[in-house]
Amino acid sequence: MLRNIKLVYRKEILDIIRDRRTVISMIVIPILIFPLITVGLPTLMMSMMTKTKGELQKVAIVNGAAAPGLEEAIESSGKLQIVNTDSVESAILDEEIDAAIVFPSDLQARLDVFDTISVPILFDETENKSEFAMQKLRNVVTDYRKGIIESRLAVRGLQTNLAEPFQVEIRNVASKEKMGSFMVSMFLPYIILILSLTGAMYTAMDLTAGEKERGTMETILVSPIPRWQLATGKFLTIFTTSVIATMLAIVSMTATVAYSVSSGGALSDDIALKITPAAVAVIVLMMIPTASLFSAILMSISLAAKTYKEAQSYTSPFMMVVILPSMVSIIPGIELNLILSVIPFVNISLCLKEAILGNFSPLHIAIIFASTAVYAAIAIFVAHRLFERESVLFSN
Amino acid sequence: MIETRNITKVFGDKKRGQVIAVNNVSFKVMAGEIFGLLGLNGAGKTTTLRILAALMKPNSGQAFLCGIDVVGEPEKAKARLGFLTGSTGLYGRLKAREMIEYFGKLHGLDSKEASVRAGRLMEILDLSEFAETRCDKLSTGNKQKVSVARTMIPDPEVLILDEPTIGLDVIASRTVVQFINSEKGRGKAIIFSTHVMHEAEKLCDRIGVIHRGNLIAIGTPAELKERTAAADMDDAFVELVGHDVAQH
Ligand SMILES: Nc1ncnc2c1ncn2[C@@H]1O[C@H](COP(=O)(O)OP(=O)(O)O)[C@@H](O)[C@H]1O
Ligand SMILES: [Mg+2]
Repeated sequence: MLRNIKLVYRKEILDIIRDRRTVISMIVIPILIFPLITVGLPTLMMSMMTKTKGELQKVAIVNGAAAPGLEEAIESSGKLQIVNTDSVESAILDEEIDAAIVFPSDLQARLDVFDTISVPILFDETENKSEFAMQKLRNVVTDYRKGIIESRLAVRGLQTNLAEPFQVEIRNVASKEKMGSFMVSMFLPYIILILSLTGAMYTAMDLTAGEKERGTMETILVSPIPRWQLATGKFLTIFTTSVIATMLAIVSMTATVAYSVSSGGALSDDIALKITPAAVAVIVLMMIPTASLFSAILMSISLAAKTYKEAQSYTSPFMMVVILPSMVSIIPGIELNLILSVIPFVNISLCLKEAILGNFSPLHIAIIFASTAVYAAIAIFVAHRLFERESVLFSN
Repeated sequence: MIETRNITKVFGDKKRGQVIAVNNVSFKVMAGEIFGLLGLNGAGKTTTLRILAALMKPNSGQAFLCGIDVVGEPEKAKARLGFLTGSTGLYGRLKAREMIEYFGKLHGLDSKEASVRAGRLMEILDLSEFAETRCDKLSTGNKQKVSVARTMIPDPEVLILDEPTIGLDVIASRTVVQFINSEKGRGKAIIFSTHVMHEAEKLCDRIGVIHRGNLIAIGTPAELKERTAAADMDDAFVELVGHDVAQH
């Protein structure tokens, strides 16, 4: 019995590792995805941001002559270039300029009577460049305003501080590590669940519908080994690819964290990565029943299909069934409770999230592990029953 | 060696409702005998052979291989069986040698024995130079040879061949036909299905004509021709199944 299962298992493993699709979904993507999204993506975004920020932006000043010294201040800020246009709004939309500031023509007269003057800054929020230009303009104008206040106070022989009773300073007391865990805890559960699913998916389709399509299902079914042993060998193969995909992702994640810690630990000025060994242990523990569940469900779904293509169209809706509940980790404020602990995929997603954040509730962990194991056992049973059905194996 | 007793198989079909694919079919095939199952497309040949190979269960009736009930002890029955059809495929990503050895091992051979037998079969079938070639890279003829080798590696006592020459060119069909004849010489009980009349006439000791699930005649090619007063098997077949259906 064990000999047969081992025989089938070894053949299936040999077979699928010669398939490029499996290798990509089982090995390449899981290894690359974590470093890419934690280090690669932010680095890329940061460098794009810095680049845009450093670029010279074009701004227009309406009635600039009314505010003496402002144009000089803008130009000496170094990163803004003044351009003359008639209709600033359309110029912004046409991206001829990035932002504009509008002064009233009677600025000086109204300043003299201590009127409070509204000075609009126009920009296009959908453009990064425009937003940067707006911020720079605002800084320059704020300084300019400060200058006016200071000179007014000076005329009256008063101290500058008079107009500034206090300064507000906002400080984030969360450590860089805590910030890192927070970010990771939102996305990692989702990523791991999806990788576990896609790791199993191609193998499941190849070993069931793919075999029917290529005519090997009939070949293998006439061999004298019981069908359930064949089904078990196939299930174990699918499970293996799912587990390998997940474990490689976890290893890659741990390595990325270790690397980022050794290189100063910081991804940016206020985020650092940190995942504790206990969190890794919980993730590994939870992914075993989860991978079984995915494997058995995908195997059952793909068994119902006659061709690989048909299997793909059957499994895509199931992907959505997994993706949506898995995204619960991204929604802030949802915490595990007894009911959520038995909802498939939602429970795993939240459990991984809490583990990464360092919250371990043994009760929840036990319930989630047990319920997922029960669901997996049911799915394995269904997959085996389907494997015995003529109408599933031989469709006319 | 091969026997069916009143087997009947009914399929539930979405469009056609209940389809009686095989209706109360009984026959026996002895050791050293080639029995041909002759019938039009859809006559029930594949279903009959699948029941014999324990791939499907009959709704009623019994089937035996070497006296073993295929429904009661499918694994034991299949251990005596070589099964080859026009549609049984190969694992494309396995090498020819791996494919053949795998089926030897599934039949209980140890690695060493499987490798010795695979080597010998590949030599007989002129496959040795392709031993390390992946099955999906082989020509149609060589693929069929690998299929023959994987069927023969356990040296089965019973052979069930469902249209084994379908889609093959002349050379590849000849390989299969030669193999059927030589296995007959080695005392195997062979049942094979076809809708090609002259192939059946040339190869078979006895022929069973199956039509719409019913076994309507059984006998040697000579007997069938005599019974219908026909000059060749084609005419005999048309005579047996009736002119109306033979026209399409
Ligand atoms: N798996 C199946 N499901 C439903 N109907 C089937 C199935 N297999 C065969 N049939 C039907 O049973 C009849 C006999 O088919 P088959 O045994 O394949 O004939 P043959 O091999 O002689 O061409 C046909 O009408 C066919 O459509
Ligand atoms: Mg057929």
